[in-house]
Amino acid sequence: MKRFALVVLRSPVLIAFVLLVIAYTVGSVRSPEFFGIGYVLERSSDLMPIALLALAMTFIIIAGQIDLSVGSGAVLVMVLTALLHHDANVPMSALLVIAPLIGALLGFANGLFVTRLRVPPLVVTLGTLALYRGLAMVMMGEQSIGKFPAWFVGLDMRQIFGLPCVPVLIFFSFALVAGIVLHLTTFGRRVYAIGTSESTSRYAGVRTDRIKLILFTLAGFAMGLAALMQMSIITTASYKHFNGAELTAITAVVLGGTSIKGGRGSILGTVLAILLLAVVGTVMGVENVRAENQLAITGTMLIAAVVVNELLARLSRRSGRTT
Amino acid sequence: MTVINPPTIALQGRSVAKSFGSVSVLHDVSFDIRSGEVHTLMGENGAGKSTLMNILAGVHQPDGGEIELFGQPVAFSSPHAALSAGIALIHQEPQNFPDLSIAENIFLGRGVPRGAIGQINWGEMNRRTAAVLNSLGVKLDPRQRMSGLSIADQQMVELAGALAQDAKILLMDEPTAALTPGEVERLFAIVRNLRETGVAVVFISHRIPEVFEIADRITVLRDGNCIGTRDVRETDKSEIVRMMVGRPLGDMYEKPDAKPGAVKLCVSRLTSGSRFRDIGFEVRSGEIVGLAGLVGAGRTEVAEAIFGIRKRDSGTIEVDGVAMPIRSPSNAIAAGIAYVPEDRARNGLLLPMSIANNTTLASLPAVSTFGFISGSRESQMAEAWRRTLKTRLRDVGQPVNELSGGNQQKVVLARWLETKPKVLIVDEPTRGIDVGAKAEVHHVLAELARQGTAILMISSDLPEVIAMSDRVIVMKEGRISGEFARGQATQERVMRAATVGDDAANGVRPDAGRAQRRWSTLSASREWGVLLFVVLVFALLTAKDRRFASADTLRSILTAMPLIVIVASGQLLAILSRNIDLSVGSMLGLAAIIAGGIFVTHPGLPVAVAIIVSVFVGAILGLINGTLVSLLRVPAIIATLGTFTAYRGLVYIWSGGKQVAKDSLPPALSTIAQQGPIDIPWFVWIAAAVAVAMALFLRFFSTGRYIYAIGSNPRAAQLRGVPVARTILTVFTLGGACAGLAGILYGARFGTINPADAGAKPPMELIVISAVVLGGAAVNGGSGSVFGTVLGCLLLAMVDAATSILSISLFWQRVFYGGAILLAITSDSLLRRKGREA
Repeated sequence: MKRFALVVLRSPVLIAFVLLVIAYTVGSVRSPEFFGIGYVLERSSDLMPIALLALAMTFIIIAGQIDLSVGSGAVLVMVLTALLHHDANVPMSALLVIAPLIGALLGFANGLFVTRLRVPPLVVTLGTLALYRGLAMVMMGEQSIGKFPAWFVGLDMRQIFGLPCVPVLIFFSFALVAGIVLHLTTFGRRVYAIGTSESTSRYAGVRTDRIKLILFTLAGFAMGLAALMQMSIITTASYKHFNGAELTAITAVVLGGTSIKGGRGSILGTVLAILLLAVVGTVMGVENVRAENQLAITGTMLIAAVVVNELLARLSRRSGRTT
Repeated sequence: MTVINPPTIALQGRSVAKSFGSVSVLHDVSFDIRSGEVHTLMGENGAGKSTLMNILAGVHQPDGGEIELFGQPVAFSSPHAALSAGIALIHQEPQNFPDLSIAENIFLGRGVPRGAIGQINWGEMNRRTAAVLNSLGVKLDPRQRMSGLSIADQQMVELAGALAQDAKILLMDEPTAALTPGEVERLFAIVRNLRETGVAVVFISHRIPEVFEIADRITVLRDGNCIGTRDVRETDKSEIVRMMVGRPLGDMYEKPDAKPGAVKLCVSRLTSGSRFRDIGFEVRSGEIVGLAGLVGAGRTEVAEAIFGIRKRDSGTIEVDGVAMPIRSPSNAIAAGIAYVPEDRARNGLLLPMSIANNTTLASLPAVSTFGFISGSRESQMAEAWRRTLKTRLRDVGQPVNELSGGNQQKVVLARWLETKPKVLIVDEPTRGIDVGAKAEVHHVLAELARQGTAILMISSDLPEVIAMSDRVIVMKEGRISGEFARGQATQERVMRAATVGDDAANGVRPDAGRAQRRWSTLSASREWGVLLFVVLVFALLTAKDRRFASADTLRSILTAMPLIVIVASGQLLAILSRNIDLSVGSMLGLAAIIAGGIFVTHPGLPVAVAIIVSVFVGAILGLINGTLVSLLRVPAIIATLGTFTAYRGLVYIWSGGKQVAKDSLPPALSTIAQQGPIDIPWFVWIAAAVAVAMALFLRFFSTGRYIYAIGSNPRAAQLRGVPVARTILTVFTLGGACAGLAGILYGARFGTINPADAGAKPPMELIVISAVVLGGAAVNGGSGSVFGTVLGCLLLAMVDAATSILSISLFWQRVFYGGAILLAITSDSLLRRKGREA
């Protein structure tokens, strides 16, 4: 038993899994309707746009970088997409392609700053965090745009297998792709290598700048996808969406056992952490916890996750030394 | 008056021993150092000289043996403790604070002169600095910033720091390595003076002529053993060289003779700035060329230039007779060059990753199909190399950091052999590995050469160079100083070429410090640039619209500033210390809602109480941030991102979502924001007082200077004994207190306190970070001022006023904040780059 406890403690992904089981059990006890998986899936839809951002954030953090602009970037893509549709009459079907490309461009800009100017990504993306949301506000003003085609909106209402789980399925598909890329390809291996030691990677011929540029661009691509999904679920676009989305995304990544210092982590961990956040969110919804307080709980969880990860790392280093 | 006394033994060591991991660096070293002598430590690279010095100076602790200082046994836990006892170490690469003044670099953390209320007495400090510098005959202004000094002058400042502490024993690690001949002369003059005053000077040097010029006695170390101590008058250069190199060749594997084939690598006229010049040589198929010389002679730099890691100014690199445009390691790999770097842990290995992962890093395509890595092919590859190189390991999936140094080196070799290089460069291939593994590595290199690979072997291990090389090239001070064919190369000849010969004038000396000076003064005066910008913007806006220069507008600018000035002053502390505080807006909101809420429950309470409560709440919240960052080691960005939302959540929980309404707040509170002396509202005066207090704190209190020191060079701060954790705690607590003060003033200014708005709309953290970086503070810490920050705030307030006068959407503010941050970091980065290139 002690051995088992030790294994769990050493594996952050397992911690996320155990927490998920606990949260789900608690939820089921508190309210019977909770027990049906459909209820959780339905309630989880709202989190899925941010979950897409968390997938990209996993790559970024494993490579030892950070991107604080994902929420602002997503809202800027949303505003541009809505305006292109509403004012310039660009068909929504074309925007399905254009929106992710706009996002990729925003991410590319982040990447250029980080790789060309050699400024810490923290400061760069703090700047674009303000800039992207500011541009969204300027372009959109106080209006909010709706009237999207019927086929586009209501992604969360559509049923597959009798369950309203389209956003979750989309997330799972992207997670699968992300997991394959991160864990099975040469690209993914280089991402880990950069996060472990950028210097060694460079000496081994890894084109570190190019990979970082690709990663920030990918994060931008995810902003575009997140914007589309959010618009479909909420059915309107305004500059007010994705407030604090970067926080939730980073929390999910760190809760999933990815080291904030880079080099360690997994897509599976992020997926489990997203499910955990979804379940906790649903429980809080059932318990009528206000949205702002849910954000506060997210913040506390983020700190707790980083502290626990750090303490565990110290613990395993210490026991590693004695063996 | 000359009285012949028996010399005083200042420092004595008996059987000192030290190991790092499994590698024993010092075995059994005994020595004595006398007061008033110049004592030189000599020996090959890796003989243990620097380790011995580091032990004497308290950087490392010995594993065995005793050290006595003036007859008393001593054991130092830190360099700080050693310095207090009178032993000072002058590093080869000066460990100092580039953003601080010369005087501070001498006194900070070592008993700064203080005035009546504990404030730093700058006048006294500068006077004492000037006196010490004078006694050294150095003409430098104590107030000058360290970053503008040449290496030689930085060394002088370190020396002055040691003397200011009344150091009785001065340890100098290769002090002359980076100096011009004139500077060496000046240093020696100072050293002779110090000797007269009874100071013991111990220094490491590889330059035999200068050793014989200055030293009284010479101690030679070899392989961690003390070979002997000689009086200069009773020895000669040849004996010293013999003592240094006298290692037996007996147990060394010798590369069999081979007939070299075609030229594989041809380098000509390779030059890189101040590191090396005009390097040209060839390496043929089947040949091992040894590149010998001292550390710092430029050997590694040459290898890095060939491999595309270091920029080269000129010169060509040909592989198989074809010029290769190598600009990056991937170019070099494609050209058929491989490089096993010197610093295995830093540049050679992905330490926590597996052996298999480390083996395949440079040849991933070979184990993948369409970009998918095949785990089994990867293991097979690692397995194959394990057998070929006889690497001892449990299985190839085990983390590489569990292996011994020798086996780790084989993993790095495997990575490069897998790329099937035409040219293999190995840099100190057997450093820090045991004898058995060493012989195996030598066998591998010889076998590779036999198969036709051209090998360039950089090594400081002379027997290795002699035994393994078909030819030996020797570098000295950035140039090739000798070349020996196999058979002609003896340890003594090679050592002579690397050390002897007074042709220093031809050598390449780094003198980057000088050129940087102009740029660093430029970046130091960034505040004035900001001021100019402010004036320019004001003039432009006034030209655009006359209303801008009106009293009303100026007044609205003035009243827009107090809140952000107060919060930005706190943020400045965080950024100066290489941290950041994203939670300031939430702290402001929480303090406001708690302090404002008091009036709801206790109407009629004095305003002063609310102010105290608000500041106190902020300080507590800041203390929590500080604890997370300094004690729990959570990166500041993550910690404050978390508390940013957690505190905001507490705002809602505390207030129940309800705002503190206008009629709950006493009229006396809003008076603060409306009336005051000479018709300027009180809260403007309060903000001015905070700014002045913060400026005084940063200028006149040790903690304030520690903040700059930590941001400027965290490692040096730690070595100096600066209380890093306590300082960071103070930084965040003060930042919280500032946000708390701004909280109650928010209530005063806006009349109501809304849980969703206070500190969040517009987002306070973005405003103040923009203000701080716009005000010229470096994003990497160490430099910045309250003056600049206030100017940054002024700029933002002016732009706000402009948006309302020119009736531009308020939304543009956010664009401006983001643009300002990006603009500031871009100019900062370009300025730094210019400084490096100049």
